[in-house]
Amino acid sequence: MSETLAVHLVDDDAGVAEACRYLLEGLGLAVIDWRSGEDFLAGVNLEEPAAVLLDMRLPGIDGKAVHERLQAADACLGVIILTGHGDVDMAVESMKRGAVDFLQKPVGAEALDRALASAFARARQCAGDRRIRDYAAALSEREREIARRVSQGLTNREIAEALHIAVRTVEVHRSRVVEKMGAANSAELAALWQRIET
Amino acid sequence: MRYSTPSKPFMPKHPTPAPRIRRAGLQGALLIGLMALLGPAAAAAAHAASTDGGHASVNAGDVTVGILAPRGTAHTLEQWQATLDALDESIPRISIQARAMTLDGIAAAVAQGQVDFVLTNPGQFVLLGTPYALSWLATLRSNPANSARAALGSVLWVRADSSYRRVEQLAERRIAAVHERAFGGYLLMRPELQAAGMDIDAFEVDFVGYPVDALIYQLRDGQAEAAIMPVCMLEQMASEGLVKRSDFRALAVDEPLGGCVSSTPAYPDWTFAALPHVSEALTGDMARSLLAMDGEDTARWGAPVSAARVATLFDDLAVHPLGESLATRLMDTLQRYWHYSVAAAVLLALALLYHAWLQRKARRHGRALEATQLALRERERELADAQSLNVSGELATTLAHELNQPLAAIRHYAEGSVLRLQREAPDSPLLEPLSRIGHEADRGAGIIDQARQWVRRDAPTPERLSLHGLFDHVRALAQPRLQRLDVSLTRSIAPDDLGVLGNRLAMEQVLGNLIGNSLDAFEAARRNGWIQIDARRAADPDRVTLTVRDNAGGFSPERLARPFMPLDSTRAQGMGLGLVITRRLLQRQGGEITVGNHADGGAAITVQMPAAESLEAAQ
Repeated sequence: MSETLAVHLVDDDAGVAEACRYLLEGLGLAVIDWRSGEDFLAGVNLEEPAAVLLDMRLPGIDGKAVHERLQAADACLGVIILTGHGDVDMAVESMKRGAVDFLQKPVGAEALDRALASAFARARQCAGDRRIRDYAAALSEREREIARRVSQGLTNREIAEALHIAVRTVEVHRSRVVEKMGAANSAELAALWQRIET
Repeated sequence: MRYSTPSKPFMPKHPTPAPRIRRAGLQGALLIGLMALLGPAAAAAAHAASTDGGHASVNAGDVTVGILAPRGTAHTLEQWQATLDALDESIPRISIQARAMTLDGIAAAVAQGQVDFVLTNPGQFVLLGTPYALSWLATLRSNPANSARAALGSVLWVRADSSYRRVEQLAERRIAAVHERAFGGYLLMRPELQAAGMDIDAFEVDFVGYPVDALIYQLRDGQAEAAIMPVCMLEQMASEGLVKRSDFRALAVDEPLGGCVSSTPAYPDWTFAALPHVSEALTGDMARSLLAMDGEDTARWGAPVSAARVATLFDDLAVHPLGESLATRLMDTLQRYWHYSVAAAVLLALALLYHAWLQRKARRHGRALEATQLALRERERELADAQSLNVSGELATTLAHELNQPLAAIRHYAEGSVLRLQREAPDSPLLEPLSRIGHEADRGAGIIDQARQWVRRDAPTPERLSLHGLFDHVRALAQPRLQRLDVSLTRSIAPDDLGVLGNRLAMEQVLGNLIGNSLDAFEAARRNGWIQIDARRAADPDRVTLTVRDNAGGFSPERLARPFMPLDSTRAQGMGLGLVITRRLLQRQGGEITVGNHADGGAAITVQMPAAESLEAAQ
């Protein structure tokens, strides 16, 4: 989980975008830059977790609209809003829409690094949640019953009694569920399940 | 030409002028003004009155004959005595009174009906005949050898010992004449003077008045270089022993007339005429008596001859008989019909009073209007102030953004370089200046942000605003441009009391900007048309939808792609901040704006604002 995520840079000003890329690459990050909201929405791979540095002021559809569409697409992207002038209302609104951070230009390397760290964390978490959900979706009904009871901290015997099946059967299912969910053991399975059940 | 009074020593017994028109002072002047306003209709009416029923028909008793007196009263009365006596005798029921008159005197007497008959030259007949409906009774035959059609003419006399041989030599010299309108005088001579190929103004003609005798004395004594006289006048004076014929010489000699020298073609002789108020019977008797005279002691008369040649002459002289005497006849009419005049004066006085009253009212309204105008201007100034503050705010915002971009780039490069150096050459002396570059860029951005905060206005306090009220106001402000560009502005607001919740000044600015935007488009497209404003409650009952449409062509696709991009105007002038500011103003009041075109070739801008009722609900 420590692989480096990419940074999408959406800014219509080529001069700023180039400079920002220089800075981000200085921080050891991979940068994909876009000149407009339309280009970005059309080209971005929404399946891939990443951070987004999104300028509010764009020709055509603006930063706010791009952000709304990303939300609607349920993408695992950590969005950082960039703006020419800090406006409290706009910042609050952006955060409500789920932005990781709201930064005023010109952004310092330190603040950018910190915000990007949060954005990556958010993207990773989102991607992780999605993977777990995908795994869970692949379970059979019986496996799901057992996974739920494991996460509730029930023993194999208690589960067998509740489901009127043999303890051995429960053990077989349980090990398969741990494997299918990509967990190391029953304790991790319990933690993963709690994360998606809430 | 100069006009002067005759020299006193040569005016023996100036004839008593006929009763002159009373100069009627201010009231008269006002009446003339009124009559002039009423124009030809009034003159015609007055004239009709004078011919139809102004006087009882004269058939017997005292009858007055007005006689033109070119040589003074005494001479005239003496000359005509025998003729008048003969008339008196042949028509027993009348008693003739003779009145010697000047040209002006006869004109006035005829106009006022103070005489019953006139005996005057054909020139005056042409002038008076038509307007006063005179009846021509007989034409004089002064000399049996001559036809009545060719009896009158003028002579231009100079002293026999002078050097003048041709008319043009008299240019700039003093020429004496009786009257500008004297027929056997200046009127007939004028074409001859003009025929000399000179501007008539080149001759210095002095009109010295009657009697004619005075002219010849002035000429003889060197007070004038030439004199314009009727034909035979000098010859007659010579025969009377008053002057010596050989002392004078005629210029521009034409055919002799009745044995006398003439400088002009011959014109018909004098005519005896009756005024329209004289009875037909008396007119007939008079004509018969005149024609019956044998010419022994009396004058000799013939049938009246046509004065067509005289009329032609007048046409040539550009003298319109009717037009010329209009003022005189107007005065006469006024005097004769004083009761109408008084009524007119009363009417005029009333009109003046009414006018004064109207003027006072207008002044009062004017003051009110001025106050309104002042208030309007004050409001306009306020709006302009607000607008300019908004413009500077928007400009600062735009500048902040535009400058922030390069500052951001500088900072990014500086910090990106620092990061690389820290990794690859942590001892590099460039690390310190590079990080300073980053800090300075940040400081610059801070200053810009402060400036922007400084011009930023506080959010306006919302109040209830009637849409009709807002439109009335904005319309008044836009009126001059609407009028100049010939653009109509209509509105439809339903329900009538629909209102929005916002700041008055901001909303006036919003509407003013939207209308202004349309007007700019009309002006740029050089066309006229309409702007329609429509206000309705939105689907959400707490909101009001306002649509401004025009038929000025609409926004271009490029403009429509980014309508709120500042400093990007389709206008030649202006900063293109209009829509940006409008949106900003609306956003601050919780409103929105959408920009588009409608199918009929024009812009359609839709604004949404909180409805006024939501304020009441909130309170």
